[in-house]
Amino acid sequence: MIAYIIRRLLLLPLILFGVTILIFGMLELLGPEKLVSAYIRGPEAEKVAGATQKIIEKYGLDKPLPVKYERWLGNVLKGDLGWSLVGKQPVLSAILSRFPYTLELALWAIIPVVFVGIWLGIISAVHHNKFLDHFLRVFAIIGWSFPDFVFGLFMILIFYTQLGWFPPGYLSFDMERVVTSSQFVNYTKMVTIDSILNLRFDVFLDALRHLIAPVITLAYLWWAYILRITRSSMLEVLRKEYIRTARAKGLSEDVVINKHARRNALIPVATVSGQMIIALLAGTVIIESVFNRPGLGRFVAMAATQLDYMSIIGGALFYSILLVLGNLIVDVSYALIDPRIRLQ
Amino acid sequence: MESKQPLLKVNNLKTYFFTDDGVVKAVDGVNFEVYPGETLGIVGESGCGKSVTSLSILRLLDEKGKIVDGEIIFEGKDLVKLDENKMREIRGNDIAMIFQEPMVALNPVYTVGDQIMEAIILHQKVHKDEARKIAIDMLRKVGIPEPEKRVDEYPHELSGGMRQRAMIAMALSCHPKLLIADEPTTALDVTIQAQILELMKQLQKDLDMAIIMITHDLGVIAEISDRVAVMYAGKMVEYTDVKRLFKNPKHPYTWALLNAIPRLDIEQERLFSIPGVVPDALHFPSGCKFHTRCEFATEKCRNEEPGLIEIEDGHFVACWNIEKLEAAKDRVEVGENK
Repeated sequence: MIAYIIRRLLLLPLILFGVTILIFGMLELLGPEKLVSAYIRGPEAEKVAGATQKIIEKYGLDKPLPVKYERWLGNVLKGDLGWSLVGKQPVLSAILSRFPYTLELALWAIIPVVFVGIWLGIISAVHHNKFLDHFLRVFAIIGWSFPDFVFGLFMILIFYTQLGWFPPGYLSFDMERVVTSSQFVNYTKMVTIDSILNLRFDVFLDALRHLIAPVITLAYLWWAYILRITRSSMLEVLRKEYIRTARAKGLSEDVVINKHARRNALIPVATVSGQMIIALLAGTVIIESVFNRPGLGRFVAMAATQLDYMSIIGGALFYSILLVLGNLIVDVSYALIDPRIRLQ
Repeated sequence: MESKQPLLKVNNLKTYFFTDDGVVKAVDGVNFEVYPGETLGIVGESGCGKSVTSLSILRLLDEKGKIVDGEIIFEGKDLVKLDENKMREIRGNDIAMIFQEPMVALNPVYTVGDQIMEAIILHQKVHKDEARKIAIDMLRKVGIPEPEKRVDEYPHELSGGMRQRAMIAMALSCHPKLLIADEPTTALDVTIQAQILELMKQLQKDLDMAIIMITHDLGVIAEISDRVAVMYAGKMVEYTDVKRLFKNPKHPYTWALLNAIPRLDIEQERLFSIPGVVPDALHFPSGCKFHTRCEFATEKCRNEEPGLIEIEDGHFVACWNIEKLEAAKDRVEVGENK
């Protein structure tokens, strides 16, 4: 197991090297003129306007590719991803300041989705073709056939416009003032966690009130997907001969399902859960827009519409790293579930 | 042997599958007994109901299969009527089962030892460490080298023969009184097959258990069985001891099966095969189920189903045309001598 993880970790630099080559290639396609913005720092930008040629010479943007790559990679490794026009700050700090919002929403959605989705998927498979199975399937079909923006708008219509329970946005005005005040320490920049650490439960409840609608929207869509995968995988496993062997030993149905069947059924679920976690961490543009929440997805979408190259490329690099790390976690969880994978 | 009380007595067992296309009468009125310490062979082509019979005994049928009639008396208890909890106490403990494909019958994500220990902990109510010792002992007993090491290995780390040995160790770990072996050697190489059969005979003697050997292979039957039930299309067609079955088969199906075994002692241009195919389980023919493929079939065979009749002490046959078969046997003998 440890050997497997080490082997997998040794591959990591290689994959990341490939990623940087691809992203550097994207940069190169822009041409030197557009790259100038990468090397201008904030207020400097106005001063040097019109001095593109000077900058190209100064930063060696017309040098051969390997030289440029080396210089670029050096900057990236120092955390310098260029200047974000949209964020009006360096790209890295623009990304890192928005990521906690996305991460917070993702964490609140992932936990119920994965656990409840798997649990209900197993129930559905065990009650195959009985009432409970049909009921859960209909509920899930609605979930994955609903476009998320439509579902999100319904949530706002019902729970905000009609009932006034769950407002969009991130925090109410008063609470936002509390959070930005000097007494409030931002440990993680995730307000639900920080508010508890600051013992401000009023802030926590307010943050929760703003989180419920987007979390339900995200959770329902993904939950339906996890349920479906778990159910079909479980149904397949329950037909396997080793399940009959387990029953022939006199094991109770509980042990047969929760020990012998479940672990085998989780292998495809791990793949899908990995995809889901990566997608949620990347920030969902639509959910963030519909519920008017700050976040990474919205930032990158804005950068794209305003042709803020460095933010787009910085975002791509950040997403790539998330993806590589996410896949690493999925691979390790495979090996934890299935001993056959450890030996490959 | 007849004077002893049977360990297992199956009376008029009927197991039907209720599918979307109709009712499949997979087992349709089967009777047999298994005495302590003996081996009963159940032989037949695929789809004849032999596996369903064995799964019915342990009540391991899938949701579509139901025992609709009959009794399965094991040590005085009717397993058909037993509640699920009592049934679980019997499974793996008094009656154990091994399956055809050792590749897929072991759970790939748990170690061999873990899977053996499970049954031991469950039925013998011992602690984990004790169960592990028993598991290692069992693995040694079934001839697995380095059992202390193998106990922590996963099924994919063992060869096919080793896996079947591990399956046998698992089945026998609680010293069952009856072992049901469903084609235990079919998926294995011929040399391994012989080893596994030898092992089973050895363990049967050591543990004094009865075996129901389910197979389509008459060679396996000859090797291991004391008595044999021949099944065709959900029915038993012949039921007798192994010597009489091979020497003097009385049912045309048994006779045809025996003729289909390639022989080394005579020159054969073509191997004999039974004409036609096993009938579709949804549309079994009327009368005798074998009449569509039987060279002796008459009008009576097409309309009336023959019952299993004891033609001599301990030899049961379900056929209308026993005399015709005898005449035919003579003809073949004469033919061979030419």
